[in-house]
Amino acid sequence: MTLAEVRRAGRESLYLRGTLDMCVLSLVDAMPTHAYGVVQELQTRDFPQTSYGTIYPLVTRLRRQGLLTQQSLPGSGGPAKNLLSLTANGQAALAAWQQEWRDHNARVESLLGGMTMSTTTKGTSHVN
Amino acid sequence: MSTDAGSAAENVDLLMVDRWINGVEKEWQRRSVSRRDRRLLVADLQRDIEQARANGASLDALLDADVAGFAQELAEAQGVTLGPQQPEPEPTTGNLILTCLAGGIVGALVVWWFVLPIGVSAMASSDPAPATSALGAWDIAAVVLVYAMAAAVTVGCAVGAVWWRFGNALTSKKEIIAVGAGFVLGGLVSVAPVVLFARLTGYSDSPMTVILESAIVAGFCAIAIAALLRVSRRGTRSSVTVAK
Repeated sequence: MTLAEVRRAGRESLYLRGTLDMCVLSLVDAMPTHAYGVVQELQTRDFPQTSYGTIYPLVTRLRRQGLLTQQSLPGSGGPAKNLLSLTANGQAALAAWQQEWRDHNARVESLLGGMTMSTTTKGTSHVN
Repeated sequence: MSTDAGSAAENVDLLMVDRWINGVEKEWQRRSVSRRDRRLLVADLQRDIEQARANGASLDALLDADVAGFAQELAEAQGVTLGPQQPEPEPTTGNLILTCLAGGIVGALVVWWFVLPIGVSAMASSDPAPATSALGAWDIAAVVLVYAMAAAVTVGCAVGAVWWRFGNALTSKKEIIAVGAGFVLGGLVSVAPVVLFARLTGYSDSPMTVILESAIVAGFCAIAIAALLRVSRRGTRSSVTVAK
């Protein structure tokens, strides 16, 4: 791994830290699953840095905060299935966080777009 | 055959999961998490790992290498307050001997209060005429059995204490075996001097005599444990040197 790749991974990890709760709530909202199911889903969606060691404590916290609930269903021969699903508070939190994320993202995009435009203008005026 | 290999691999996996969860629990214990909270956290974690494994998760994917970090994160996620980290006890020869002797004392007390009274009353109830009959083979066998059980309980408590306190810190099982063997050897070697001392004191059962007799046993056990630990560690060191 090159130094640039390490730095990029570090930044990705920072972005993820701020959004992982929302991502987990969104995944569970789409499909009730268990902690390891969340890890698998995140990894197939190109978040390889997530692991059971990260997700299990996070899911535990979300349960304690009353955003997720765990239902125990009898397993067919194997252990009982514990499926996570969103509570009403979890639904409300997810909706609010999604809106905040979109607003924030729009501001960042707008800023980046503005910077790109001004850089282009600067570059043009410099050439001129 | 392949089923046997499969179940053997399954057992190894279960053992690794147990060991890892024990490590996590030990970390909580070191951070003063209450027994009740530890039980709840462990039960939840065990259930979840079992389910993940049933869904095809590998142990590599589940068992976080940073046990201390995981334990802290999970406890905080559950809203459990963590205390300051207690230093892990070092498995030095002195610590191992003290722990083994402390366990041995607990074992001896269990023997004194439970094993001997139960054994003696069992022998008395099975003998129809204890006062009139001479010692038969069964009586001798019963006495040997009771004392063998007493010895097993004492040694079990001594070794168990060492395992409980240093199980994670010891690098090889040889050291645990050396401690157990040293304890037994010291106990056996101390019989003659203790009997001699008892004879000299006219078989007195005064507290001071009993304390001195116990000190003789403890001294012999400590010397034997230290000697066997030294031998076992020398073996480990030389095998490391050869491997280098």
